[in-house]
Amino acid sequence: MRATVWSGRNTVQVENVPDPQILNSRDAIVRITSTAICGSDLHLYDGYIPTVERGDVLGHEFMGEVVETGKDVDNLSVGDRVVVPFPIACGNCAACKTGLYSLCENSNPNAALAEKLWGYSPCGIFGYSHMLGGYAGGQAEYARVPFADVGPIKIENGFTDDQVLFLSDIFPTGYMGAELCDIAPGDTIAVWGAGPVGQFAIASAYMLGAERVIAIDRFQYRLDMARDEGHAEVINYEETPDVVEILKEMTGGRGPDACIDAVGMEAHHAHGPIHAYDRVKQATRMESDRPHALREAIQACRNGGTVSVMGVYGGFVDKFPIGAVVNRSLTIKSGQCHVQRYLRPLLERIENGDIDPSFVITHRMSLEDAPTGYETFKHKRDNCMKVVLTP
Amino acid sequence: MPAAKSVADFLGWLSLGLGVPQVVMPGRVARSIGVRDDRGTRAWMRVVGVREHAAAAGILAARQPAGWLGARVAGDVMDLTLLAIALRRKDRGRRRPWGFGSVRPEQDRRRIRMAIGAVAGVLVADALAAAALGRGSGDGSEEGAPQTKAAITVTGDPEQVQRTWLDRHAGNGIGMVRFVPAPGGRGTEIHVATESSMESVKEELRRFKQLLETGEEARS
Repeated sequence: MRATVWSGRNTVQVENVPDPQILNSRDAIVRITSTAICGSDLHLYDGYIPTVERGDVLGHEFMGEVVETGKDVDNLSVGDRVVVPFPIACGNCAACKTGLYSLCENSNPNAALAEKLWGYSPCGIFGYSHMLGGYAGGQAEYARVPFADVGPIKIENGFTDDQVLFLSDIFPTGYMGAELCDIAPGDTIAVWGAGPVGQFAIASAYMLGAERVIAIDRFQYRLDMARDEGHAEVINYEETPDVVEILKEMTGGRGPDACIDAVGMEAHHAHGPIHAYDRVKQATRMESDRPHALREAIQACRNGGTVSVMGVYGGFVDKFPIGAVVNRSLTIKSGQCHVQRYLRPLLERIENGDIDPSFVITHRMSLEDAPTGYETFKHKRDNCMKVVLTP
Repeated sequence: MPAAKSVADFLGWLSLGLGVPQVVMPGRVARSIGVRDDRGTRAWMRVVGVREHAAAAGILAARQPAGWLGARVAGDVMDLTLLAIALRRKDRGRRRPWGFGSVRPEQDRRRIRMAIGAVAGVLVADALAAAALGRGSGDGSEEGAPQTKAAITVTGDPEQVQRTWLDRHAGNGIGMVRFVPAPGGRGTEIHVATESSMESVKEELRRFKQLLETGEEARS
């Protein structure tokens, strides 16, 4: 089959790789009809996630048609249309039973690697390094889906791929980012990063009752989408001297009640020397992640407020403002999205017409054009927001 | 084995205390033990000093210094050999620049004998400490205390978990295993104490948990 494989820093190639096989009785094989490039795929592309190897098949946002099932998959049949959540979760362990699917205790065969870096291992993830399982990803013609009796959700109501594909990751991820804010009436939520996850965090914050949502980015086309589609107020941080002060002023001196970091480890800073400081530290592996957005979200959050971290971080950061967290009673919440628990309620949101997630799509390409898709998305060419690939 | 460890630490610091002057001022050390001070002696003295540094570093830094104490025993034997050679040499003592041979040969001979006595005493201490720590290190297993302890929590009650464990490990036990109810209905803690490596034990515990909870081993 054809698949998008990582072949070194800033390089992906579409190659012939062996077709996936059923390895376990709870597996299914899915013929992929739509797959997307995620912002977190760019962290792999840029070489900042350890234990990615040449030849690894990328992609964790995908949907398609079931073409084969293992003998213990009794909820899916050949021909079913399914969206596959990016975390691989068994549904049986203590974490899965409490809804913490991205902390599944049984789905990472390389848990020992993750334990070395993080203390304990989270779940396995499609196409996201060997430390997270070494599973082949979904930017391909076919994918093997472990625990297919737990993860995938059947799509039976005639929605297009574009409308439901993002249930696999970015819609639930943005939604969980807003949910972690415990939004109360009158709350103002500030969202760093108006990329796809940021857009869904904005929409979700309103769904969950926020009074105001403020989006912070430097790409005007992304802020335009946040304003026009998401009804957010916007701040272009390259055109303002001090985001924290502006947020303070916009919120009557209180600060946002909660701040969502939808940026992660490759953040940019408007001030050249500060950006360069973290860029150099990251390049020389003295820190693995550039935490500009996170630092600012913490500084900007109101006293006693919540900082919800949905951007991906991999390891260690420098100059973490722990003093602000302690002295101002901030709460930090985070996690890879527990997608499985949001699939049903968010599909209902789509069915009810609360949201049509396809608004983020700006580029459609053939799977064969994945290398172009990565470059376009990485460099934000042609106002790129979201690339969907069709095998 | 705290007493043996503190003796070992003392011997480690002794190594350092001897090693530093041997490297820094080998001539003066040689004269103080009654050995002729020439280029050959100084070179040997430095070799011995470097060896003492290595022993000190090994003993003080290692979690299991028994091996390093063994090395010290070997070093003591080497020192005794060198001192015996020095004692048999006819021209021991300090040679005067104008070539009148050694002075006070009897005094030098007495000093070498004292040095031999001291080294012999240290040899006994080294050997005893090495033996004591070696017994406690577990590889000899006289005390039978396994090295590796690992645990995992799985769903299910202890009896059920234990039955499944025994089915899987019939005839190839991996050490001492306890099944303890986890607090608050969190399932069963499996505690393993074994001589196998930490990696292999944890891997086996994870595989067992996967099979027990999901019916299959995770594979990618």
